Amino acid sequence: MIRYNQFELENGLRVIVHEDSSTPFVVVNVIYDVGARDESPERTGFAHLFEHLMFGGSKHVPEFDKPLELAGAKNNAFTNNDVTNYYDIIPKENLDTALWLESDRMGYLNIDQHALDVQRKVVVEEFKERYLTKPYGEVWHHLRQMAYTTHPYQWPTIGLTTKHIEEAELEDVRAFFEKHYNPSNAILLLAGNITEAEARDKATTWFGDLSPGQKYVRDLPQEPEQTAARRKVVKADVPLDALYMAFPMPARNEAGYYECDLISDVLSNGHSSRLYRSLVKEKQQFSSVHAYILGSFERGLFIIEGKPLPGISNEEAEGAIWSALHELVEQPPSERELQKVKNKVEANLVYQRMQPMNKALALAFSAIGGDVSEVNEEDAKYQAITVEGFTSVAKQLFRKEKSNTLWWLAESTAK
Amino acid sequence: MIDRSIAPDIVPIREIVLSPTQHSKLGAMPLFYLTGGDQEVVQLELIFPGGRVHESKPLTAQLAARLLKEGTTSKSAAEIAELTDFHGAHLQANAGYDNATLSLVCLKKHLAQLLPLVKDILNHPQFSEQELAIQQRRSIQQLVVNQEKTDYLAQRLFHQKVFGLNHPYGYSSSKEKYESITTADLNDFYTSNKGILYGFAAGKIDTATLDLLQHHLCDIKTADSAPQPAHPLNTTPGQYHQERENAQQSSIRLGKPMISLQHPDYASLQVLNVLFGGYFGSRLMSNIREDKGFTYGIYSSLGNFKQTGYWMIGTEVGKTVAKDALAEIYKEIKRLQEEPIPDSELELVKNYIMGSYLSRVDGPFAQAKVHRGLIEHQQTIADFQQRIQRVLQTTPKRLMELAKEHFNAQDFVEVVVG
Repeated sequence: MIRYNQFELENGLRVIVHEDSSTPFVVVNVIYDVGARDESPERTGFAHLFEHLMFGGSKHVPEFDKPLELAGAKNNAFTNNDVTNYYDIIPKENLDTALWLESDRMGYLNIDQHALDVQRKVVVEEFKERYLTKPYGEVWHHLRQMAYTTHPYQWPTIGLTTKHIEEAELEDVRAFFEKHYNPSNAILLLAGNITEAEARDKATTWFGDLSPGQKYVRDLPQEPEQTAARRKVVKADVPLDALYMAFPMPARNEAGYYECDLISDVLSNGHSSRLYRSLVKEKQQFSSVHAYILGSFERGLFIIEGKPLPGISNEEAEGAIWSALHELVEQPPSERELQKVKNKVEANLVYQRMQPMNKALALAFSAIGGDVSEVNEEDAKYQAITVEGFTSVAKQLFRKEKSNTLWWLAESTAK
Repeated sequence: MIDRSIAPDIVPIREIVLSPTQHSKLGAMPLFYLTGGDQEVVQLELIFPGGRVHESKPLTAQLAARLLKEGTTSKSAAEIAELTDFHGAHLQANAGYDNATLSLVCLKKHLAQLLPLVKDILNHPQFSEQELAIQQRRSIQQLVVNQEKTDYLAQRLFHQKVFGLNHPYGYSSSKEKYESITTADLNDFYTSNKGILYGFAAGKIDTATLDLLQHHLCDIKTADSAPQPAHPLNTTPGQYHQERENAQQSSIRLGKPMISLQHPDYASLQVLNVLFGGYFGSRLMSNIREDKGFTYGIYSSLGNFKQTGYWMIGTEVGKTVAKDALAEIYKEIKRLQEEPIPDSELELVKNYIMGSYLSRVDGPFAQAKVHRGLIEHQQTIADFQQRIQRVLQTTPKRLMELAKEHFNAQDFVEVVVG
């Protein structure tokens, strides 16, 4: 249970406060309702590039990071397909510094050509470091393109190609800021050593005078129902073959979402999970195998990935996965097996929520997803899942005609 | 309306409060503990002499730790995994370079069900042929993938050259080394290094928790805290460049052995390192990322093993600018040696370090980590506080002297892969 209070400033900025006097810090977290899904197909990777530019200083702030460092704070940000999130973890004495910086860059961004030039290069190096030079680094480019024909989830946050980043112009930056960065499209979280009264006072002081901006109305092309199996084989300079499978699954706020998460836990959370026990330990067909959900706000993907051991043919490996998936329905989990994954959910929610930062993030994601009270209802939703509910979702989920199968083949063994 | 062009005043952090641990004994085993936090969570760490320095054959420490949870004389790997998962617990054995740790994190309400398992794992492990074969295959597969990564290759070459090819801190894993390990090796290693040095508990540690620990772990075998077997370093400074034809980036690792935590100059060296490459606004980041755009990130860090410290600069840069990046790194080192650091920059770095110290004492789990580090290096809270005072007292003059004394290019191991 995360206690919180919320209020709204006159300009529409929502503020959520979580009080925790046991820490000497306050987390200032600003989440913006914009992610890679909101990019134009010709400018993919832009939301993330823009996140980099937000650290280049704003109208009244020559340098963003320096005042925070001087205040003994840590700060960073991340972008995903759904949202962009910025945070500062600052000693409570210096809270004003973080609020000054965050409010100024929400209201008065100031990007010059040099900053854009440098950050384009930095992001291209990030693209290389994390995607192009890592073995299997480009898997998500292929998997997303296969599983989404229409919805902008078809590109990863880093972007489709480095070309899109290299071509970004100052004019694009201004337009993006205008459209997405304002009180109407953001939520401010204050978590840690702060009271609600202080939060009201300080949020009003620093953010109250920003102009509200327009609420961005999202109208994205929706993905049509998948009706036929899709396959792709990529040959690459990797040492081992790898198998990836993606199945369309419900959005966060749709029925079946939490069942999918528990299905992934039964399959692959912990060394007692089904895929690990059967394919890694007993049949010894894989060196590693994992199942997980992407957890996206709109219709998402259920992912299975694994690396078969030498001597196991690709057909055999794929067959072994399918058998394990069918077994979910043919041999449904016992009460104890279901209770096991529920216990893991319960415990993991407690572990994750020990830090103010994580509490702020949990609140931020629930709030931007539509309903902040969700944050305290998640556990009950998992606990309410029955064996019948579990198997009926599994039956819908793992169907041949809804599968997207990607083989990443080592060039030396490519057939 | 507020005047945004005036930066708010900053209150520098000058006081760091590290709570003392409490002590107890579980049978003969010393137990340190810290109580706190508002969640019903318990973390227990048991430290035993099972790191690389205790090996007589490379990789035994790692494989022994990996197999510890994979079977006891009375429970199969599957049963251990099921029991752990059912109680939503994290149970992990990790072998480091010096010691190994068995750690348990669980909700307090499940502790009574899990402690008998912890005891069984430590007192009656069974290293089976089959489980060993599985772990060897998994480790080799992982290694094969890692060997395609320039950062991994650069890192291992750096360790070989800084500590020595056959030193426990320096040797690299290989397919052959993994394959040569037998269950007899694991049994020998575990039998000779069995026994807990001490335990550390943090979180909701009340009388009931202590009673449970006492009840279940009072007859765990303890180890003597005898000094580690000494391994002399075999550092070979020089330039080691490996060309990789298809690489788009080069991985650079640069550094040397260094004074460690106990040395009176360590605190000031820490200031120098942070200023140079230890935070986002560092000299290296400002120049090589934020000004030149050569890289996504460049950092320098100080490491502390029991038998030596080390210092390392690491970055992945565009392959075509690797030479330029190296030149800029050396240029920045030279600046440290020749130009006094401006007071404003030094103040900022000190404040930043104090903020880091403050987060290191934020909550019982963070504090437990600090105490673990102090115990490992035979230090006290007073030593910790003294180090903080020394950080604050560091002068630009002293930093220049330290840069001249410790950052000499002829002592460096310079690795470039890619």
